[in-house]
Amino acid sequence: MRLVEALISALMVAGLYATMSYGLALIYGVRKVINIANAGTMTLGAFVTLLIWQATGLDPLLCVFIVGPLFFFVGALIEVFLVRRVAAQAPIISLLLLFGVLLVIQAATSLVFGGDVRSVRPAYIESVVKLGDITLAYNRLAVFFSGLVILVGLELFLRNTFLGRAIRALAQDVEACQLAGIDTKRVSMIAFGIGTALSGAAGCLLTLVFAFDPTNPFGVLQLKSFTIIVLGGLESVVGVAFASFVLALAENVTVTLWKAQLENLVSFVLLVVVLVVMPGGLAALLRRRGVA
Amino acid sequence: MSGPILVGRGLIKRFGGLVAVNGVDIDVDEGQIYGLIGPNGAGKTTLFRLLSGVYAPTAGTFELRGRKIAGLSPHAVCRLGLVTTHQIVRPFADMTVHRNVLVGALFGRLGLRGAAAEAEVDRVLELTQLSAHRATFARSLTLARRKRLEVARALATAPDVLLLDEVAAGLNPTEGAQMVDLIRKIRDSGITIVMVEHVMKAIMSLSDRIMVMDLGRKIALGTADEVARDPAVVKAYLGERAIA
Amino acid sequence: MTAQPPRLGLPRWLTSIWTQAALIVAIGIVIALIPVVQPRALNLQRLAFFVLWYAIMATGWNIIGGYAGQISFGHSAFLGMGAYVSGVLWYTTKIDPLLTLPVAGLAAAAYSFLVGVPTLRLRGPYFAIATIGVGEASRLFAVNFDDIFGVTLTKGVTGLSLPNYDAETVHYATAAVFVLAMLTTLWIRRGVFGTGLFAINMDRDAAETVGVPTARLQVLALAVSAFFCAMAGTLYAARQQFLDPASMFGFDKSIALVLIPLVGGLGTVWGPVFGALLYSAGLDQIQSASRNPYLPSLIYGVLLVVIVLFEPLGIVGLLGRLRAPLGRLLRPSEGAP
Ligand SMILES: Nc1ncnc2c1ncn2[C@@H]1O[C@H](COP(=O)(O)OP(=O)(O)OP(=O)(O)O)[C@@H](O)[C@H]1O
Ligand SMILES: [Mg+2]
Repeated sequence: MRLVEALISALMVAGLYATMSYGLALIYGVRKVINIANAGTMTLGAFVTLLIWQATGLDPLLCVFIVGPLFFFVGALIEVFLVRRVAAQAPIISLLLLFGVLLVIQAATSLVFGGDVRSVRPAYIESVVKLGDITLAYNRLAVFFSGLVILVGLELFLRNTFLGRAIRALAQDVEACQLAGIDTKRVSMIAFGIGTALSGAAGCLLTLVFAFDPTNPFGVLQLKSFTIIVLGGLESVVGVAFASFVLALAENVTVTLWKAQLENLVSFVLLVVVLVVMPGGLAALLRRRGVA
Repeated sequence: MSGPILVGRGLIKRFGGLVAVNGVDIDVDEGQIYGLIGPNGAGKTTLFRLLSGVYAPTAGTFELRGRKIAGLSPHAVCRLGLVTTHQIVRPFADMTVHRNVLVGALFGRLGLRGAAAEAEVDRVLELTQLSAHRATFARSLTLARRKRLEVARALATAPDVLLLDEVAAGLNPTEGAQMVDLIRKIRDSGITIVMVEHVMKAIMSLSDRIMVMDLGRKIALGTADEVARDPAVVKAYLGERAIA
Repeated sequence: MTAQPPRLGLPRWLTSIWTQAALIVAIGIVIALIPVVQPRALNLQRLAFFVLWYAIMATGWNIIGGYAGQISFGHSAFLGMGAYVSGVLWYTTKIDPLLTLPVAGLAAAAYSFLVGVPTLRLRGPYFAIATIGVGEASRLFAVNFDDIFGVTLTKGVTGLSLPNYDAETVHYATAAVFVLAMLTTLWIRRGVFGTGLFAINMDRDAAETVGVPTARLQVLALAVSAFFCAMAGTLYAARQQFLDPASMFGFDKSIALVLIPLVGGLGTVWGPVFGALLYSAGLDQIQSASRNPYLPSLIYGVLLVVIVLFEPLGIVGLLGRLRAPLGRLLRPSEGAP
C-alpha cells in the first residue's frame, strides 16, 4: 500500500515538474542552450496568475490561456533581441546572457510584487478525491492532469504539424534544415516562445500547489528542472515527462525511508551524477541496453 | 632510413553500429613520408584519432618506438613524440600566432621554458613562413596560414612522428606547392610523417609508401605507382561500373 | 570565450610582471594602512574589508572561470567550506582562526578535487549546471550536519556564533591575503600554467593534442581557486563572528562571484578587483540611496546582459577602449588573450 501511495504521490508532483521542464527541452533542442531564465519566467507566471486571480477570480488553471500567449511573446522577444545575437559564440555565452535575463526578471518581479511569500487559494483548494483507501488532493490531481494534457498536446504538435516537425528537425540538424529551406531563425524564435509560454503555464500550475515568492528562481525548482532535462536526455518531451516521474519518485522514497530535509539533496546529487556518469540521460541508457 | 617507428596491429574503432576502422595494420618506417588515402568516410581521420589517443581503440594495439601508446590520453602521446594536426583547423583563435606555437613548445615533448621555448617558436615560425604574422591573432589569418599554423603548433612540440590530416586541402596551387615544400623540409629535418591527402599530386610526389583505405579497411599498400595500378584501389575510387 | 584585446604599442616596463607585482604590493600596503591613518573611520574599514573580500574570491573564481573558461555557479561551496573549517576549529578547540587560514584553504582545495575530478570533464554549460548542484548540495550538507557524535559542527540553520576577534588584525590579514591572491593570479597568467589554461579555454581538444594535460591543469586551477575562496571564508568568520549556511553557502554568493569578474573583465588580472570595487561599493551606494533591496540585482542583471552583448572584457575592456594611459597599464600583455 505504501508503495502505491508513493507512486501516486510521485505522479501528482511529476505533473508540475514536467510542465516546468518541457520548455527547457524545447529550447535546448533548437538553440542548444539551457535556458537558465526558465525558472524566472515561471515565477513571473505565478505572480501574473495571482494578479489575474485577485482581479477577476479566474481559476489559475484557466489563467494558462492568458499567461501562455503573453509569455510566448516575451520568449520570442528574448530570442530575437538577445539569444540570437550570441548564437554563433560558445554555448556558455548564451548561458551567461540568459543568466543576466534571469537576474533582471527576478529583480523586476521583486520590485513589482514585493518580497513576500504568496499563494493562490481558490475555493476547492481543500477538496479531496477518494479512490478506495487513497485520498487525493483535488488541486494536485488537477495539476497532474494539466501536465498530462500539455504533454499530449505538445507531442501531437511536434509530430503532426509542419512547425512542430520543423522544431524537431532543427533539434537534429541545423544545416540540413537550412538546406531544406526551413526558416531556422523563425522556427527558433517560435520554439523559444513556446518554451517560455510553457514555463509561464507551469507558473499557473505552481500557484495551486506551492506558496511562492520572487526568490523562487534561485531555489530548488530551478535545479530540479535541470536535473529533469538532463535525466530526460535534454531534447525529448516524453523523456522529460518520464524523468519528472523518476525524480519525484526518488524524492518520495528518500523522504519516506530517510529524512525529510534530504528531499532536495536528491535532485542535486542526481544532477551531478547523471551529468557525469550518463550523459544523454535515461534515454541513452535505455537505448544502449536495447542495442546490447 | 632505419626500422619501424610506428607499428599498429588489428586496429578497430566502432561507433555504435558503424565500424569506422576495421582491423587495420600499419607499419611506418622512421624518416619516411607515409601517405594515407581513401574515399570520403574511409576512416582516415578516425585512424589518426586512434593513433594520437583522441579515441580509445575498440580493439588492437599500437606502439611508438616499441613503446605501447594505445590507451594513453592525447597529451601523453604528444609527450612521447607523436602529434596530429586537425583536418578542420583548430587554432587557439584569440591567441596570437606566436602564442599558439608557444603552447606547443611549452607543453610538447621537450617542455621547453623561457628563452629556449622562444627560440624554438622563432625557428618554427621561420620554417613555416609565419614570422611576419607572429603578432596576428589566429582568428584573422587566411586559411592557408591557419593550415600552416596548425603544422607549426604541432612541430613546436618536437615530435618524432607528425600526422598531417589534409593540410593541403582547400589551398590554391601556389599555397599547395608551398605546403608540399614545407612537408619535404620537415621530413628532411628527421621527422617521420604520416599524411592524409585528397590532393593526389601532392601525396603521390611526396610519399615513400601509400596505404589506401576504404570503408574502414586497408585495401592496398605500396609505392605511388603500385597503388595507382592496383585494381582494388581503382574500384574503390571510381566504383564498380568504371572498372567493368 | 575571451575577447580579443587590441594591441597597443606599450612600453615593456609598464606591463612587465615586476611593475605589476610592485603595484599590487603597493596597493596592499596602502589599504593595510587604513586603520592606522584613519582609526575612527569604521565604515571605511568595513567597506575596505568587503571590497578586498570580494576581490580575493573573484580573483580565485577567475582562475578557473576566466582563465580556463569553466564558469562555476557553485563557488560558495568553497567559501562556506573555508568559513566553517576555521569557524568550527575556533569554536571547538579555540585555535586562532587566522592560524587556520591555510588549513581552511587546503580543506577546500581537497574538496574541490573531489568535486572537480568528475565535473571538470563536462564542458561549458554542463559544468556550469553541475556546479549549481554542487553549491546547493554543499549548503544542504551544512544545514543537515549540525553535529556528529555530539561534536558541534555547523549547528545547522541556527548558525554558529563565534567569540570576539580584533577587527584590525583581520584587516591586516585580509590585505595580506589579497596581495597573495593577486600575485598568484598574475604569476599564473603570465606563466606556463596560465598559457595552458587559456589554451584549454579556447579549444580543449586542440590543447590536449599538443601536449597540454588538460584534466590536470583544470583540477589544479579549481584547487587554487577554491583555496583563495576558502581563505576569504576564514577572514569572514574572524571578522563577523557569525556563520550560517544561508549566507556562507548561499547561491547569492555564487552569483556574485560570477558577476564580479564578468563585470570587471573576464580572464584579466585586474578585472576582479574593479568588479569587486563596483559590486561592493556600488551595492552599498545603490542600497543606501534607493532603499530598495532589489535594485542592485536589477542593475547587475542589465549590466551582465550588456557586457555579454557588447564588451566581453568588462571594465578592463572599457578602459582599454579609452586608451588612457591607465587603461594601457592594466591591459594584458602582448598577445595575451
Ligand atoms: N565521432 C564519431 N561518431 C560517429 N561516427 C563517426 C565519428 N567520427 C567518424 N565517424 C564516421 O566514421 C566514418 C569514417 O570517418 P572519417 O572521418 O575517419 O573518414 P575520413 O576517411 O577521414 O573521411 P574524409 O576524407 O571525408 O575526411 C564516417 O562514416 C564517419 O561518419
Ligand atoms: Mg578525414
